[in-house]
Amino acid sequence: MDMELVVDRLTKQYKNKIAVDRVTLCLQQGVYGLLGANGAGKTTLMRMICGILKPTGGTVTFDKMDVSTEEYRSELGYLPQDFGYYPEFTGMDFLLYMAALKGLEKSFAKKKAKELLELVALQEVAKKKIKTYSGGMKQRLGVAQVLLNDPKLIILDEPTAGLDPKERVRFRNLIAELGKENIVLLSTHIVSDIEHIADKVLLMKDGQLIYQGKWEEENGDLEEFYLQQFGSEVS
Amino acid sequence: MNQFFTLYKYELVKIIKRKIVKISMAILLFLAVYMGIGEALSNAYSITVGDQTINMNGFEMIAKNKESALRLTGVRIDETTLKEVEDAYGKAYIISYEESVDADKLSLTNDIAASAVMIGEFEEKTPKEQEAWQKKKELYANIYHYIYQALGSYDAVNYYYMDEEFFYQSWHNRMLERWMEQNVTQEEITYLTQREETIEKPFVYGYSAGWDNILREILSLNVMLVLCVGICLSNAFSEEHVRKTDQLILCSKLGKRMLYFAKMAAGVTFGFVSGLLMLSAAVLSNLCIYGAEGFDVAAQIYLPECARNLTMGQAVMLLGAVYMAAAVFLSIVTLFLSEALQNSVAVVGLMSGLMILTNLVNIPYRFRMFSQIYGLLPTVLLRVWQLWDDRLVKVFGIYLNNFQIAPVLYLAVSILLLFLGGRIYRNYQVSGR
Repeated sequence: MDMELVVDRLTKQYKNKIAVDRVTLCLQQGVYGLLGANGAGKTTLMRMICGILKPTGGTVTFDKMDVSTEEYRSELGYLPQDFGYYPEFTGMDFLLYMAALKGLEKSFAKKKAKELLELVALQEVAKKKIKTYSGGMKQRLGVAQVLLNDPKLIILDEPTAGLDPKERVRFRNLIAELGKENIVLLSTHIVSDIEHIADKVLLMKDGQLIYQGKWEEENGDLEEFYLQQFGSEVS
Repeated sequence: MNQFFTLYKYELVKIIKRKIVKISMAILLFLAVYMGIGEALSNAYSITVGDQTINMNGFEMIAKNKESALRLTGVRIDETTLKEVEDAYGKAYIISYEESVDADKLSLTNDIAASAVMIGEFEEKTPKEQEAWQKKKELYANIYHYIYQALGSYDAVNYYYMDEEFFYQSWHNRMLERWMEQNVTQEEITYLTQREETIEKPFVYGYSAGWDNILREILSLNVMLVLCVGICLSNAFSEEHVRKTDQLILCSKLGKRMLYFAKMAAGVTFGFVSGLLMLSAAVLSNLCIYGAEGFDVAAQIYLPECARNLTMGQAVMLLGAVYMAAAVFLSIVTLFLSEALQNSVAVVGLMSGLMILTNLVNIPYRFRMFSQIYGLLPTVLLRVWQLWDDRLVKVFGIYLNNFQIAPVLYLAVSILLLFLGGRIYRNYQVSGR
């Protein structure tokens, strides 16, 4: 059976600003690129999809499971845009801690953590404290924690930030691979991050979805379209 | 359950691995040990015995005091002993003033003054008699000073109207005066009098300086405990928001419910173990220096204001148990504030502020209800003199004292805070970063 993330008229309103305005989405297996300038509402939308920010209105369900349930969260993998670590933990400790949070059995968690550290090329520094890691290494560790529970719904907020070009390419390939069996929603304001791997593009502006659908070659250059839409906001 | 213990273990590691926790614990444990050994390490004392001046260090002084107290161990404060003390000290007083006894100046009754003058006139002693008498004085010094503590005056023993009945009646009268001062009802007085009657009399003197010191240090230990949990647990929850790790936690399967309880359990464990370590350090250092003798000595020997049927050891156990209950309670309060305020500095400020406030502000007994509730705060309750706060609370026809009601209150408030904290934690919204 196909998995399905349904976002129905999702709204987040602050005192005098609507951050997300009645966004409706229905996502199935594949990679979805969420594009938008800073402040467009991408992060707010993702936080609501992850259940860490309550919407003012609307609903989020994954395979009919409500966003507030434990079942929903057990299918979720989330990489926030800007997040911290426990500096005294080693990379391995961090993954084992996250695995416990995701409800994985200890022996399985150990095996999985090793595999993922290898996947993100951190196996050699697995026993070093995170405070000794570079920005890119921390970002890769973040990616590893996303995959611990083999999530069906993967939300990545600006995942390529801090990665060098080589890591970026590796990471794109990894996302493309993950998108074959899961729903991957990744936000960015760098068009090249998604134009080759995203099955569908979602464009957000001022809290609203202004475009959603496949980006075909006949539509022209995505970057150009993006620049047209956001104009001076992007520069 | 396995996952709970794994999370609990990691939360405990998060607390312990912080540098400030290691430094604070080292300093506080050193202080707890020092409280016990401080006097032994103190400067030299000079004491005059006859024509000789002897210099001794703190430890030698403690040993000397212990030796003199141990000589009296087992002596009952009865008619015979009181007469012996009176004989030694009453006459000492009379002789030193034999030329100047003046009924008006000394505020004595005419009868006592007359007898004093009379006895003073009779006291013509040979040097040998003087020496024997001096030895007797030294022997009974501790009981002489004890009588002062118990009755609040040396008059009785100095002026020759001391006997057993007078001593215990005067002691009881002091209890009554205090109960009246504490606004205790007549019904409570009846109950307290009955309770007081269960205390074995005459009291039996004994050496119990180690246990006594521990009781008197409980206030300092409590200040240290507040600082300890304040510093070490104030960021248990707030750190997640400051570090922005809350986003990862709150969207994970067990992050919203199980992790909250694991964090709480880890924090409470830390608070409990820290309290236990500080208390144990203080107890062991005191018992090493002063000795463990006197566990069974009646509390009234060292704490004559106390009208509870307790031995010194039981009093230490009682305050120790309440101290541990307070450690758990204060940990829960700190953890709750950490989540509610999301600012560790504010939590430390609030906890220390509460400590200072309760040390400076005293609600008078006449506002009985407020004063009694205020007295149950852990920062107020854990003081040795709370052992003679005899205000009671009647629950289902049973009288409970402050040390009985406080843990029940702490438990009730803890459950409430646990529930409220859980709600705040689960409803936290990650926004505006």
